[in-house]
Amino acid sequence: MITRPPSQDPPDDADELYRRASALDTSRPGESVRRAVLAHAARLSATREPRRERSLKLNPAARRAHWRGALFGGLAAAALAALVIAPRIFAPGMPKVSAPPRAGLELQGTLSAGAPPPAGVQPVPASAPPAAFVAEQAPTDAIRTQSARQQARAAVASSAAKSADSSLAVAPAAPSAQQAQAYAAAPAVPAALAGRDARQTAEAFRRAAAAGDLSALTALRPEQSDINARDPSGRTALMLATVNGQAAAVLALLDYGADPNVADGRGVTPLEAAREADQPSIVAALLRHGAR
Amino acid sequence: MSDATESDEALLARYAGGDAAAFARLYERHELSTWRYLERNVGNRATAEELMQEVWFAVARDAARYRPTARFTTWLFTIARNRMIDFVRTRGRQVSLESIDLESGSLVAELSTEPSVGPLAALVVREQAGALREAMGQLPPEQRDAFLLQVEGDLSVEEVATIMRSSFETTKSRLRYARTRLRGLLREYA
Repeated sequence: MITRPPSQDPPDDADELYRRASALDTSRPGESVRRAVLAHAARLSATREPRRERSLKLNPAARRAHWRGALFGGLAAAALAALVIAPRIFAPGMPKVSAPPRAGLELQGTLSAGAPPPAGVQPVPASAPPAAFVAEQAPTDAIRTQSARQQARAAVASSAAKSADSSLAVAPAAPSAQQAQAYAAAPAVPAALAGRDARQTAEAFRRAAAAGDLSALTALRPEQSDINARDPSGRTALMLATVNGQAAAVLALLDYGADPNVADGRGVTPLEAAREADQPSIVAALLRHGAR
Repeated sequence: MSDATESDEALLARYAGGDAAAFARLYERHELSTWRYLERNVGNRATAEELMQEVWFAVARDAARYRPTARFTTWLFTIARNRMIDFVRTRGRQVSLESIDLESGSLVAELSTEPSVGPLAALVVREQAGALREAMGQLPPEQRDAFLLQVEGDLSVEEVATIMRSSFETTKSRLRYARTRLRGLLREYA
């Protein structure tokens, strides 16, 4: 326990006079301040630990499933790498080992399969990208077709839908050979899916800011990667909280690190909007956080 | 360890570990001292409430990063002072208590509706409370800050010097001047 260092000064009658006068002053912060502080602290406490980690800690079954998922994911990646490499190694007329390594693809795959690297192949740096990403760069015509990409997206979407109810982000089940090739050619996370989720989260986050809903703001904060994301009119969550006079939401957003100088589509900054809306407390808060 | 004897640092560590009740306990323990430090320095209730909220938001946010190399109160009042300085800088003026409207003080407002307090007692209390605010307002900002840090934060001279980033001797001198001034201002109302 940290103890207070001994005071150098003896008790002073000025202190006593101050304390006596102070005791008569019943001034305290408003109840709304206390409520806001305690609610904010409780919500932060609840969201501090990522939900996934909590789930893994608390639920042994989830932990087992997590390891199963990781194992299957690793096997799937190895199989996938082998599928991409095999045709290149065993293709007639193609030298087996003398071909120059292509962005580390061969060695990465071979090592994944547990075989020693062929002679003449340069080792790949440890920082080389995983096989699935490298494979996308390889000029393999068969997996660059549009239909293959569509199949891949469908496979991933189906897989994502299956695991949607689970709090664990397990790897999708090992795909068929065709799917595997297509999967390797597709982006790791389908852009359409990722985009939609991010948009919906950003919209919900902005709605919460506009309504001054601190609970929703805090709950959505971990999922909202870009706190300064804008709506179609160029308004950030901070701007919406400002124009709606939601001082507590403005303080919370600034506390989360929202940029107070992001202007909307018309070039109006939150500070200008707050002044326009005659919100002195919001103006003061914005100024304190560097608004210009 | 019971709540009454559990240290501030232990409560903060419990909160950082996910115990929201520990934070509530910590807030209860330091609410009044933080409030008085802020309100008596800035002299404006609305601003003090805003700062109060910001200070405790920061405590909650940074709880996991707190390392008990200094007492919790030193950390807390460092945050409070930094927020207050930010406020002064952004407002571009020196905070002064001279403009305090004594009539709007919560004490006076309460007295006017409290039947058990007789007119004479009310006058005395009002004079004493007013004298305190007036005395605070008459102290130079650095002396007031040092004095409030020490009496409200229950901090040693070294701790006040650390927070104010000034030397031990300078801090001690500020505290001495502040006390001399306050003694003269408050004695006639005691």
